[in-house]
Amino acid sequence: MKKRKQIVWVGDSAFKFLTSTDKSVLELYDNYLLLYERTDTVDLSFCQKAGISYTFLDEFYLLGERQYLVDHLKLPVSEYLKDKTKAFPEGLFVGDASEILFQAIVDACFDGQVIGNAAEMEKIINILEERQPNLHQFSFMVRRDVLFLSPALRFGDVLEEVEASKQHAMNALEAVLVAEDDLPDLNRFLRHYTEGAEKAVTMDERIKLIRGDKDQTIV
Amino acid sequence: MKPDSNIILNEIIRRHGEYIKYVISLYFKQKEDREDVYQEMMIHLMGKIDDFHSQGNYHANLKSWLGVVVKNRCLDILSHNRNEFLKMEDIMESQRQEDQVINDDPGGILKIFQTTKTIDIEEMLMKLSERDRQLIILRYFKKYSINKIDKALGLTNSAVYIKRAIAKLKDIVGADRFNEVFDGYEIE
Repeated sequence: MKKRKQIVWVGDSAFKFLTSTDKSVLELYDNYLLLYERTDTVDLSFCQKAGISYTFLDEFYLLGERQYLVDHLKLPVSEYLKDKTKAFPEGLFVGDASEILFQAIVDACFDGQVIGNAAEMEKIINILEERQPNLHQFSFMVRRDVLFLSPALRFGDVLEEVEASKQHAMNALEAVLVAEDDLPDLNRFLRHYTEGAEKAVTMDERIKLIRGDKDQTIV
Repeated sequence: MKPDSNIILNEIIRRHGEYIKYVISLYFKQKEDREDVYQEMMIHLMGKIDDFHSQGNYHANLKSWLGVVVKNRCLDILSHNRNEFLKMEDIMESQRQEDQVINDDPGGILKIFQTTKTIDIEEMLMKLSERDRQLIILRYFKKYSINKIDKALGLTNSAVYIKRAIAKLKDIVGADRFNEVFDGYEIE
């Protein structure tokens, strides 16, 4: 039986979208939530009721002297990805790239994706796993799509970071999707994303597919 | 979906919370005053963020914008607190210091010097299960009380689990190595 797709919701904006998504839609996927830290304003009752796995990065990994900078978070988020995504051959990252945590996720994939396209990567993983059956360290990079939510923090320098993150995603991930400004919810998109990113974008014109896969670009 | 001011403010605090505190400290010397002003500043920033985004002018640099907003607010507060006998020279000196910091260090006032020791601890903790690692981080690095950990993780007596987690870590890395790496930390 084919495994279900995984959705990793990354950061505060993604959490807000997660809580506004219908339960029936969420049930189509294995949902994981990654937040940076526990705060008084984060209400996790939604996740607890819906059985959604949530993680605070600063409790998953000892951040110590690391600061809230992409370079400092890349290793911790890589550890998170290795741990949480290894069981899922396909999946989607959802987040707002004006949050550094989400940029770190994209960059961790970008750094890991130095070897060609995903199909080639899978072959390499298979070879490596034959030699070392427990080797999973590269598997988080296989067949991942990404959905960039509209940036909440709209300062010039932050928007430049967002664009750089999209460029990294286009070099590292499969389908790269961008949500337009006034996206009220993701229900329509996610209801059809089980059939692939290309199908899903035809159902919601407020989400654009800016890169289809490694070998073709769909604008 | 309209950008959420709370989400924006959280991101700003994570990115530049220390910088905001630093600018405030240039104008307010007493710790209690700095804490009060910081709290007040958060409310002020919420309003300013809404104004900024409603204007639709997205060319400003976040840190420069923050520097101006925080500085102006500090000056506003000071000008309303003349009873504190603040001298204009102090304010001018504070402004000079702040401008110098911004000019000297455009990339940020805080630098990272990650010691070998903290890297050792990070790596060592990664040998534990996620739950055991979380317990140790919350108790010894984030200084949570046992009650607070119980509440956060839905446990009834996390002290027992914490002890077990430490014992596992000692087993994995060896007591000598454990003692060497955690020397100076109050971990038992």
